[in-house]
Amino acid sequence: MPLYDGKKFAQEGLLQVAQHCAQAALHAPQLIGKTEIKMEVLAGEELKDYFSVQDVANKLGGRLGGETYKAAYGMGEPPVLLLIGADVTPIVEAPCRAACPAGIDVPRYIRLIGDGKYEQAVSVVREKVPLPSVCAYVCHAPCETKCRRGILRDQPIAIEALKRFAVDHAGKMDFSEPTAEATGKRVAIIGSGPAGMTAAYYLKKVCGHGVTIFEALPQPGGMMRVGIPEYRLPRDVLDREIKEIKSKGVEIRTDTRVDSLDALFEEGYSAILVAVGAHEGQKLPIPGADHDGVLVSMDFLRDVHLGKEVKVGKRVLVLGGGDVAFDCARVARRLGADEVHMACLESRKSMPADSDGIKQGEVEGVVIHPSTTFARILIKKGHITGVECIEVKSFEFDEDGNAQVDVIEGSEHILSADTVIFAIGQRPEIPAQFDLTTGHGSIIEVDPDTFDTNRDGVFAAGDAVIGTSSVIEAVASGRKAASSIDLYLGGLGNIDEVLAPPEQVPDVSPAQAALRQVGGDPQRPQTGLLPAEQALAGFEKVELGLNEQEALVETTRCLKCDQVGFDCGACGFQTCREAVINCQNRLNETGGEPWGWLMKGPSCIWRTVELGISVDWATAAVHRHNIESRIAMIPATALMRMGYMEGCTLVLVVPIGPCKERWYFEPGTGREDYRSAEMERRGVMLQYPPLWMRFTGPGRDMGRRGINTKDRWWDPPYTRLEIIEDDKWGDSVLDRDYAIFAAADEIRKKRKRKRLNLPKIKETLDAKKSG
Amino acid sequence: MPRITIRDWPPYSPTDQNRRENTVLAAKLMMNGSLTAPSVGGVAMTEGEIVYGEEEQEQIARKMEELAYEREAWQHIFLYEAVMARQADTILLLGNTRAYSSPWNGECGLCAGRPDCSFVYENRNQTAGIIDDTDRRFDTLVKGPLCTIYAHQLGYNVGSALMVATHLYVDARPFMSIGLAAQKLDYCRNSALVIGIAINARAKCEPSDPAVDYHLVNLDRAIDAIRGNVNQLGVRPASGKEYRPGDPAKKR
Repeated sequence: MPLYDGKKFAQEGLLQVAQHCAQAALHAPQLIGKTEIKMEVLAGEELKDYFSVQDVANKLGGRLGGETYKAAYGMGEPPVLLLIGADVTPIVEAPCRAACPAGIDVPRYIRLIGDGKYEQAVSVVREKVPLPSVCAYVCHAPCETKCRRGILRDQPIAIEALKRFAVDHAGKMDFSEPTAEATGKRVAIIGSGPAGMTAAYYLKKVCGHGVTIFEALPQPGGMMRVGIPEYRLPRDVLDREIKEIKSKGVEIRTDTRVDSLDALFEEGYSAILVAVGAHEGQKLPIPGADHDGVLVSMDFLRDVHLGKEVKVGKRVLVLGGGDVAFDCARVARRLGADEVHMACLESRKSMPADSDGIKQGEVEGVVIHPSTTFARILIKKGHITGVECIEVKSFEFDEDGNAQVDVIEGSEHILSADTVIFAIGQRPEIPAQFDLTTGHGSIIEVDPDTFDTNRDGVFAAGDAVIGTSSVIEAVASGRKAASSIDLYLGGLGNIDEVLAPPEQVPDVSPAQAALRQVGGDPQRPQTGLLPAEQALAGFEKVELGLNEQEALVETTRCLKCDQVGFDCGACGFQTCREAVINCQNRLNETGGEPWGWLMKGPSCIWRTVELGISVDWATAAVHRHNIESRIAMIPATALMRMGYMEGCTLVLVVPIGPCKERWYFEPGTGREDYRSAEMERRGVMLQYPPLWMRFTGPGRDMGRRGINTKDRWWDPPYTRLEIIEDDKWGDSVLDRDYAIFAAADEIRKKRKRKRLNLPKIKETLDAKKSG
Repeated sequence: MPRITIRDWPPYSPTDQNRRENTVLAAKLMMNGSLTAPSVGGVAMTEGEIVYGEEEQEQIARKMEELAYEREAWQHIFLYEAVMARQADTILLLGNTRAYSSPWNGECGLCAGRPDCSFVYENRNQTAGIIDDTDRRFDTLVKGPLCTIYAHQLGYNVGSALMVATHLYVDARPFMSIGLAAQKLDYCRNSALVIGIAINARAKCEPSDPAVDYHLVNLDRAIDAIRGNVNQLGVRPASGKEYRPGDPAKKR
């Protein structure tokens, strides 16, 4: 007996071969360098899923039946499948869009602003964020840090300022899109911050579940309400957006603290989302920190924003260097402090606060003491007199997140103050009776893909999960959680919305006209600020935003990274911009699933060629190992529908290992009923599709006229052709197409993948039917 | 009388010539490799041509430079790559003959129209699906729309040719710009889409690491500039006095 089964040994080696193929595909020469190759490997049980979908197609016996037979027949049952594909649409993923946690289509809304279509631009933002104005006012703009213009040329596009301009100039918008049909299921959301609000919006409006938000504070909005000062986020903006969400049927119960998740389940809620935020400010354990006069960031800001009377001294010292610290400092200035100082561990360059916030703080008179740590708070006769500080040489955080500080000996000094505010971080307050597993910093531990907690039916999102973050990150986590909750409740998990109307290419772009007026090489505009004296007099919004000409001209600086930008005409459009617009409109029309019969178009010709080079290199690598292989296209279509290769529009399968028909028809495989002899006996081969289709001429939708071979094509007279009318030909294809979608969706369900929007697909396919 | 070209500084020196001629052999093998690439439905649709020679490559490079100034979007890529077309030892052109006039009819849905190939048919003169390809006019760089899956097929052909190049240890890189310019000069005249592969057998493969403003700052131009400034560099023609006594190194 051999030490090791040779056949098994050989088959296991095929996975290594797949690895070599994958390497080859990635190292293939690039043609235009704009195609991101993606790959997945299938083996074992997952292959059976594929054949179950293939069977559905085969058994339906449409007139194109032979095609799917051929696909399965040709591929056989190899042990390993390598899927190689890419998004080959004319829309290239721009770095700004990739950097946005919520995936807002930044280049698209910049383009629409340039076309003077501000409402449509806001709709594009709303497709991913139900709080577009809040986002426009307070987002920290991770998109700008990745803007290619900033990296390659001069300064990044003022994306946030443009978004703010769009929401301010959009005029009256219609938010009366219909809400999904009620499912009868109810979801409880604890917390009305950005994560909770976002999840509530999608669960109610898109998924049709009843949603109740429980908010412990007297007003909804969470950190947007009690954390972010009004001079950054005007409350009328926040109120308007919360009102829109409520108008969709979301119930918000304020002043309602939830102490028990079990009680909510008992009330009949099917799922719970914990989105309580991180509202517990922290203090350093230094002498004097427990003095009554020492304030904590979140308590201080919350009291101010809820209208409570808060008093600060004449000389305030804020300990911390983040955005919250700056908020505390600037609010303290507005409450009447003559001098506000800030001290933080970080150097001036590495302060975590937003650079605009730092500049504005300094304009308002905030004095920053970087690279400083705090030894003790000095108290004399019951009053705070200052803080003993030490200069920092360097510091780093250990594995537990505690700062290890290296100080400069002899640098002790005192910063005098009569009020001290700690703003060194926040963490969530998770009641113990929730029985949720928490990790470092009291954040709730969740599955990073589903946001599912240790308790069945309980999900968590926002700062309570990801730690102190930004509004846009909280929104993104709210989106993911909503999708997971919908899947959990038996829905599709699909929360994508199409809100912007089909885009048109304008004859004259207002942006180009504005650029001609201004002339020259435009520079990034500076956002106007309220004069410091006026700003400190109250809580009026500080950033004044761009004017129309500035905004229009700014859009012309965009490098349009979402386009291949070659304007070659190969795809059928004169410019890449036209192609991108056509592609986007098509995506919108079909709800994000632009399915053709086999693949998803439209495509950039060069990107498809580029993918072809990679696929060829992968198969060549298999052949270098003297192993059987081929490139299969049609099986890939079934696998795409089953949820593999998400994000790709053209996928090919490279079967690795024996993949000839003898495998397929081997007795005992359970697939004997598809013998070729059986097929021929039943006359299925009559419909051998390449022959049929090669003569179909202008396609089924153009007059539904084709040239049919009326007899066995291999018998004389070979050339006997007959022009026929066939209205039902296309219908049978569409019926079978839907059956494949439905079968593939079952696999998605089984594998807990994002589900297909079957009703929408059926609607699309039915619309294509004759009559 | 045939055209006889004489130039003062021929880059085609005898040693250069030997090396370049070997790359023609490589190009021929690459062409074979491209023909044995997997094909969509097993239908023949590949066309190839090998461009070799100073004049022929110069013609393509100049066409590229001409196209460069037609649109701002094309300028950078065409100017840079024209240098590479000129510097290549040999150019292999590969094209697909069916993407324009004989779409797949597989209803794949990859193009911008309905998933029934009608997008291609609607944009052509055709009778019962037989496309009239005698209309040679064009107003875009490529006369689209093309059958996307056949364009994808061209990727397999190019990939296989490049794979052969790696096995032969010659440098090769695919260029859309070279193919497009060559197409305008009637190379691969039956093809709807042509890709050029520049083949080189030099120690330094410049196209893989081009300098900024490559159409100006490249090896050939740099050498030529030095030659142009030969007097300023102190190297004089070998006439008159011996140079060795005045060798600055000896003085040091």
